[in-house]
Amino acid sequence: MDKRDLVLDVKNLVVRYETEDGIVKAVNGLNLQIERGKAIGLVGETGAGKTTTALSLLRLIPKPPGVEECDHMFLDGLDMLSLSVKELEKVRGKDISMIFQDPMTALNPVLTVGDQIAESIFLHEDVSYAEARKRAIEMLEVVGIPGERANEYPHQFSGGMKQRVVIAIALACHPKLLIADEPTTALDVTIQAQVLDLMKNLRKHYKTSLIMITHDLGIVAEICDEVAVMYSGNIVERGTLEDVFNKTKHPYTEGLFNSLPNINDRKAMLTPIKGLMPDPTNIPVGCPFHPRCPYMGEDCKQPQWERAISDTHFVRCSAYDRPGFRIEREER
Amino acid sequence: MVGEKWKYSADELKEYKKRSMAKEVWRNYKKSPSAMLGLVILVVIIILAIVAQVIFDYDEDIVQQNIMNRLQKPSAEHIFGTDQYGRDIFARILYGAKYSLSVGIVSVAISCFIGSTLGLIAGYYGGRLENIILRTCEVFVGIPSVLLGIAIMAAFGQSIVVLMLAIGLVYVPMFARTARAAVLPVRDQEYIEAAKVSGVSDFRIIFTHVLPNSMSPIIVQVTMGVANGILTASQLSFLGLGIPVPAPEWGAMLSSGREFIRDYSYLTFFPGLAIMITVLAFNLMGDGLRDALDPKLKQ
Amino acid sequence: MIRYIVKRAVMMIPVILAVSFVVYFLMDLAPGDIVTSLMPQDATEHEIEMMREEMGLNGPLIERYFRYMKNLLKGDLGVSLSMKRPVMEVFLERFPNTLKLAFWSIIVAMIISVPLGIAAATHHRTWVDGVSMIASMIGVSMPAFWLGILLILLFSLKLGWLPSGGSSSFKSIILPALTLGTAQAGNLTRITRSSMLEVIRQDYLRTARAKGVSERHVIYKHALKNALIPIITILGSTFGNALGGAVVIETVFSWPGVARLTVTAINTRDMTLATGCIIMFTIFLNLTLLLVDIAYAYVDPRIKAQYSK
Repeated sequence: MDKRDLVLDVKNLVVRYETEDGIVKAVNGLNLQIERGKAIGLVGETGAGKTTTALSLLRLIPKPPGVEECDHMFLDGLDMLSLSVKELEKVRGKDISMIFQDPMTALNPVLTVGDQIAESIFLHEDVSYAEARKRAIEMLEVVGIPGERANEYPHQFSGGMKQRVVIAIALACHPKLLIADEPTTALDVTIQAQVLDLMKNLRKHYKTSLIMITHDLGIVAEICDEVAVMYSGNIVERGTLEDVFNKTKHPYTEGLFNSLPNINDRKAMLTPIKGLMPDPTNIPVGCPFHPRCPYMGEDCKQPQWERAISDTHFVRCSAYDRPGFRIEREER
Repeated sequence: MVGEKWKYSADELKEYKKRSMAKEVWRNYKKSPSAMLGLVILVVIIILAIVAQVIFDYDEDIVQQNIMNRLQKPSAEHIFGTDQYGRDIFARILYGAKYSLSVGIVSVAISCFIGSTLGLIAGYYGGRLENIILRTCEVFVGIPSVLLGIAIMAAFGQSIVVLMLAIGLVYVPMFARTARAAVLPVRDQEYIEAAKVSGVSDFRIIFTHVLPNSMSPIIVQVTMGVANGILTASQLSFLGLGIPVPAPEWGAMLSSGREFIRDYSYLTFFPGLAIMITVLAFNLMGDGLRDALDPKLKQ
Repeated sequence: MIRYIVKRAVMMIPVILAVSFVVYFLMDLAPGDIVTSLMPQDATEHEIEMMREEMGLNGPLIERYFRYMKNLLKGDLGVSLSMKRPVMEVFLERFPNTLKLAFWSIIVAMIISVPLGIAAATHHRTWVDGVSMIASMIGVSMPAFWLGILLILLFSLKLGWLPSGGSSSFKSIILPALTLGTAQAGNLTRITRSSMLEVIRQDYLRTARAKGVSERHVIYKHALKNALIPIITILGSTFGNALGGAVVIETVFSWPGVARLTVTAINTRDMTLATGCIIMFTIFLNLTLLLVDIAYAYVDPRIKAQYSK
């Protein structure tokens, strides 16, 4: 058993959607651990299975068509897989909560924002509704919205303000784990910075652990302690910021960095990763990245597992079994 | 591969496209069992209606009274029984199909023609003309359809032609609105602009560019409209304001059988069933067509 | 908000004028001259003309129409020939019955269609969905008067539980309201279902679930309130349909409402009564549509906000 103080411990999570057009393999044997108070960035392209992972952690995968399999899933020692529907409702919003990508559609248009925050408090804390409303107003002020706007409806708020409300809902009961699913993607760049700042401060203040789902490596560098890179439904590399950013091991992670513009060398050519992410109904055998990988070898078509580079750094790439294997980035 | 296509002339290509589109719709339509059921029911009704015209003589089999035979319960000889005048209900219902079908279809043809034209004009030209047309529609929508039907029947007298016109008029606004709504998204497309710039007449633009692109909702509305038209017509006949007796119109048959409901319920049961099945067939088809014409809408 | 109401009310006036004009014009075309039927057989041409003048039935159509509307505002719709009473009086006496019928029928329609539509949507593509869709399709296709007669056959003639007509007791309204309600329910069910299907896909329900709201509450508190908005918007036209449908249903159940009165008036060629009834009926319907519009603005905060500024 792990000796660290884990808020989340997931082993071998598999999620697939069985649809008429075939089986969509969204998450394929994912392992994830988060230490209390830490923030981990879950990075990957659209379709890598990030959002599905998040929904699965909330046990909110719609079934059918979704099918989940998992060895174990502990949320602060609580066995999420054994909980009944009623018990899960008590956990959601209280111990684990989530911020969704698009604030424009994440709020119920016919309920006031005050009521939407208060609902969460009322459901999970032993308080009267009036008390819940009072705390909802406090919460609004915490996220930087004047309390008297609690009686307004979502359409009266701008996008950035709505996202603040969504954050207020998610943090209303001081959850142990917060999942933020691309919380700034739908916002203007200037607003993005404000919202990120807010999240950073609140997280410290409430000592909430965080999973930050994003495809923006800049945000990860800004906010997170650790990084997990997802590709085709699995984590291919994980480690501390230092590990992944500066001692990159996985060829896919390398590809991600190479496709970023380099501020210091503006004349440098961008080198995008060739090809496309595999169709989730038809994932290649072995390492799913091998058809696009510049270091592809025969071993890549075999089942893959994680190799520890250090105590904190793990990579899912069989090339490291080849003697003296290094990726280009490391040679620089 | 691409070169192959250029072997067709422009007209042939158009024809080819049209056919494949119809094929596509039919392919989608076939997938829905309820839509196919509607189609089958309708075909059967039409065949029966035609057969009834051939085998029955109107004077002898349909309206001639035969008091000796009155109020016979359903039996092998009269499978739906006979009415209070001794007339065979089965024969009358089969024969009567032509009234419901023709009133439904002709009245919808009228409302579709007038309504769609108004709607196309309103949607295409916009501005004041559009405003006037929409306001006028609003006025007619403001009168309950049965009451408007009653008023028209009262004004012009009872006959099948007036009935068709009355129902046709009642449903004009519906078509006008549907057609206008369908034109709106097409109106500002660049190919319309291009056609205008190259000097194509408005009439031609509407018929070759706008109409085909707004066809789907109108087609669905037509099928559903026939269903509504048949229902409204039967309501008017039931109130004694539709096709004059002794014609075997279903609503009128039902109405005249009402006084015998306690002991001879089949007098009202079968005509009502006939109305329901016919209307159901059109509704099922309308539903199926809507899904087939616009697969995106299907959930 | 008040500005919105006023604006809508003002917009209503030309519609009401036009609608009543259409009705007046049509009824004017109807054969049957009230004056000739009032006068003795041997009345001279001149006497008839005098009478016509006296009753305000002379002059061009437009002129007569405005005179009619002016009188309407004073509460005078003329005298019914067959009932020998002022039309307005008869109308006001009967109208509450029609309203009552329409009101209860909508209650019945909602009781049937909202749960059915929700069940169909929440069990999308299962047998629940299939059965409710077939039922609603049959409901839409069934002639209401036929259903009414079948219900009379079952509940009053065979079982003897409910009266088959009239309005003597509270029980009398059950069958007519049930009939008219069922006739409306088919359409409402389909609308509830598609509206609910639309709402169920929305992100804000996921937010609610992520908050720990129970599935029941997600559907009945968060989704239903949104799904009801389009249902309320069509409630106005449903009410219109119910009033229109009442024409036949009142006849089937001998319900003493204005709709049946209108049909009787036309059949007895009492055109003063028929015109008055249809015009009043129509005006009332349009006022109802106005009220529903306002109610709609009240339910959907987005609309309210648009007009409160």
